Amino acid sequence: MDPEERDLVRAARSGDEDAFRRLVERTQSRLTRLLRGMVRDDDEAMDLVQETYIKAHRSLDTFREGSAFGTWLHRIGVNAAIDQLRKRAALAESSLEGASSAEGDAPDPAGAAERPTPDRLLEGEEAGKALRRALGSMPPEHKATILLRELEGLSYEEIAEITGAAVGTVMSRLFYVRRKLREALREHR
Amino acid sequence: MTPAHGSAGIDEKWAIDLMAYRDGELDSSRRNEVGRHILECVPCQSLLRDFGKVGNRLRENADEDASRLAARPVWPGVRRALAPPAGERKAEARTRRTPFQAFRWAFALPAILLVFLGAILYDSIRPAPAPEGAVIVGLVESPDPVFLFQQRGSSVTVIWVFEPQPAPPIKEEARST
Repeated sequence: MDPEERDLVRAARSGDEDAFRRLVERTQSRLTRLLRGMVRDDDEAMDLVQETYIKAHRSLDTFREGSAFGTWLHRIGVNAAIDQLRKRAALAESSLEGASSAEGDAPDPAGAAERPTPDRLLEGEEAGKALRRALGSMPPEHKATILLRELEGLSYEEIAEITGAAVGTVMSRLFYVRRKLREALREHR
Repeated sequence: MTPAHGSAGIDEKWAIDLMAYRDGELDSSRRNEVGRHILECVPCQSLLRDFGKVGNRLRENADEDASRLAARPVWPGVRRALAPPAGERKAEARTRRTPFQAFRWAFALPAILLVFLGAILYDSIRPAPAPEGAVIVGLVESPDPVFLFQQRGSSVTVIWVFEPQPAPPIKEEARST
């Protein structure tokens, strides 16, 4: 943790609202990108980002200064997103079971907007959508693992710390997701 | 370990090592071994290229989404959620009192009782002058001076444990009677 961030965390802990605002501003773009990638819905992502900061503020006392603030924040955010995705899946299973299985798609609020249409024929755009669809059908922990690696560039050990999994599990999840996404891109071609 | 490139493709264990190589997660000796193999192996190069494309595509998608959300401020909502409503703030202020403030009556009550009992005790043990008109009729041997007084014209004897004030003149008066 850099000295400035450490000072901001200390000040925020002692009740300095401006220090916490600065911490939010420093970290929000990366957190938003990560959580949006997980839940694939703008409003839901913004709610999760907000919820993450509120939770973080309330548990600032539990933050250990030896660890990185960003990693700690990501752990809170990723766990919140995983919970959200599980709730969403449970809700979809109980109420929309027939509809979703008929479509053969995972529950995905943004999915309808991403189906190919005559207006969306650009190669890159379609490849992006194929990847999004494939990612959308994966378990939340797998999504978190690949996004923490590809978007945040975190090491296997850091990912293991955030997701609460063993390093070996992180490796096998990463491999599984990459293989699936590779297949999705190949099928699209 | 020698990679197995059968008809089913690259052996999974080897493919995981390729992935770890790409992510910079192999130790140096293994890294060298895998690196040497990649230089000569077209299927492994292709797999690595594809993993790279997956990563690039994920980042492109994420950047696109994030740029759309960048304009949305986060702090005002967080601040609102952290600041409790006026009513709650008042209640919170009550709950934020120091332990002394919260239990001040619990501290005050024993203190008042202590002062009250102290006053009674002090009153009972403080040295008091001998009863007026009393004469010493006897002296008892003890660690504390104990005097026997008798009221003039009375048959009642008073035992006075504490030194009477003033003692000497009364003693002389007692001798003269």
